[in-house]
Amino acid sequence: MRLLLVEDYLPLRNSISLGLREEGFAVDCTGDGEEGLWFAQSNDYDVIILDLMLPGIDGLSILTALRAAGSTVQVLILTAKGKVEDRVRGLDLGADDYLVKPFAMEELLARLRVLLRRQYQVKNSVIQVGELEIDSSSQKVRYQNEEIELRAREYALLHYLALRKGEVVSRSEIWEHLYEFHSSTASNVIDVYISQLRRKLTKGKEIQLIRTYRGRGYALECPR
Amino acid sequence: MPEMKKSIERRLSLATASALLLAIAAFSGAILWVTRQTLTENFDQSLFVKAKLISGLVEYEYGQIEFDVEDLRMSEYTYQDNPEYYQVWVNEKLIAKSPSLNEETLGSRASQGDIKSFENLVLPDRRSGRACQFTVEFAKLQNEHPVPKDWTVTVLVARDRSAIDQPLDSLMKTLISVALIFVTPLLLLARWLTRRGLRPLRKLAKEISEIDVKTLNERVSAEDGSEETAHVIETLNKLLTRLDAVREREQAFSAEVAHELRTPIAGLFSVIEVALRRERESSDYKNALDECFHIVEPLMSMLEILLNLSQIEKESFLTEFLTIDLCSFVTDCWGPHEADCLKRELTFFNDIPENTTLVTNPDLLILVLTNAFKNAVTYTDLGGQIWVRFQRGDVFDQVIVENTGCTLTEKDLEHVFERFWRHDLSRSNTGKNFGLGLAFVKRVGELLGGRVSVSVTNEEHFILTLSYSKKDVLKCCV
Repeated sequence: MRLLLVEDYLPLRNSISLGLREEGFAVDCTGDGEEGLWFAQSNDYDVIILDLMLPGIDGLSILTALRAAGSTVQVLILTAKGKVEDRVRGLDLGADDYLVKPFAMEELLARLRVLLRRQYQVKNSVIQVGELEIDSSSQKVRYQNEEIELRAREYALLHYLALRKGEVVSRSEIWEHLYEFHSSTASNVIDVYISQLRRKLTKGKEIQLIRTYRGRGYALECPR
Repeated sequence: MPEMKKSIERRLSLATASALLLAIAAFSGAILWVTRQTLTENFDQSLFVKAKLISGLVEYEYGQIEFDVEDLRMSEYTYQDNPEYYQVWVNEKLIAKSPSLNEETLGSRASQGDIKSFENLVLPDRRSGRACQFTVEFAKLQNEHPVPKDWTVTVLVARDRSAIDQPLDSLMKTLISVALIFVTPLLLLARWLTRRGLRPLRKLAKEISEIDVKTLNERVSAEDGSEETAHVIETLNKLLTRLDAVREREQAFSAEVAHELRTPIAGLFSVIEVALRRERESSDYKNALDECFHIVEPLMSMLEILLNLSQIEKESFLTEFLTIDLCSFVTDCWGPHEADCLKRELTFFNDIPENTTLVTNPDLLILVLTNAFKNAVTYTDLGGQIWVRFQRGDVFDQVIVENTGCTLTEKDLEHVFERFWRHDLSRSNTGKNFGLGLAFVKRVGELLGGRVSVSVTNEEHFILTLSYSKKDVLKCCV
């Protein structure tokens, strides 16, 4: 999943982005409000993590601008302003969630998972595709009741396809949701990850979970 | 056993009851005294009349003194029970006494001219009595025959005092009985009056007891208050206003500190939490610790300023005022900021002439200048300039710190001395500068006997001025 983190306090920005990347998220970061707005308007993010007190323009102004332009991106406000009226104001202006500093990384991750499920209209944390079970809260994958070990990026790819199960997802969409803006990774890496995923999931059996739609992309489907 | 607290109500009740009882006692005493006086006067008068009557019975005829007792038709001198008594002297020689005396006498009395006197005595039959002694010149009595000039007749008449004592006893008993009957109602009346009188005080105490830390914004009402409690209520309400203001300041301060600490602590927490989430290389842990150190360092600086502010508030720094060489003093205070100055390519000008002296408290002035310089170094634009000047005036001496690159507006200047206020609300200096420096400078400047003010020029120069009133400095020196 691709996230935008707009937080001006450098130590916090660094630690959050490191923690999220280690969980398999692609994270774009900035400490400036105007730059954050530009990022948000220029790219398709799954969730924007937004501090309120920012140089340039503040977080609520960014949120207002995004909603005014019709953006439905999930926004989680991360701020030291913890009063009820601050939270109500943020939520009324269009934020989807509000987390007060200081916070535990686990809670941030859990809230992000909720927002992602909401984004892809998935009701619970366990996504079932046939005999494939993906538990987003524990990041565990089981196929035919057998646990499958995946690397963070592999999991992120599989999770994204699962959220959009049945849909054909293009390489560029996968790219945008799994890699940071500044990444120089070539797009055929996606093909490599898909191939590795298939092998790990099916263990060489003739079962097609991830189907290739030539010229269009990939889709996670129940095996025929 | 714990000492019983003194009760105003109890004391007032006792005092009121005592006063009432004393009043009754005094009134009774007065009645008794007046009655006694009246009865005694009447009694004495009757005795005197009798004495005079008896003295008129003494005659002098043909060189002989005769007492015509046959004319004395007063049977009271012959009674067996409760008789009256008399004795008659002529020239101190007893010539007659009442039959009731028998062989006894009432005692001899000296005569001194025309006098009458009264005294209490014990009668021969042991009754309490009262006597009247009347001495008169024999010649003044109606005598058919001339009497030698210096001869005197003294008559002593005595009878028992029951005519005085019995009514008085009866009156006293009546008064005592009345007092005893009314003492309980009087005590109750006194208590009731006291309680009623203290009702406004009890009401006030009840209202006060209902005020706690959550209701400090409430005020005691003076509706049913009396004139005496009105002043107390007014003073109390003023105190509550001050307490409420202190509570609000404390809450605001707590909220401000908590708010300022949130982001650095969130950073600290996040860095440590992420570092511990998985196994890492030692260099990653070291980087995380370095990050934590850089977060904590300015926090410690903030705490130090807050502690200094609280210690300064106790005015424990007020020590001696000395004459200092201001130019070298400023150079010493600037020293620790050289490194940051170079880093930011700033230029510092100490425009204070050499040998400029100033009477001040060096310990406090160090705090003022150090924080003023820190503020200047932080907020001067890159490559900018900082000046320090001194102006000596007739009424004020001024130490001025000026720097370029100020982006504050006139409106911002109203807030610069507020704790935790920063121009950059986004806090791009988050976790480094907490907006306490100028608040600290202002307070310390006041303790120095001066006044700290700020201004901004059209050329975007920020000017901080520490003004000393020479009069106030002298006061501080005393």
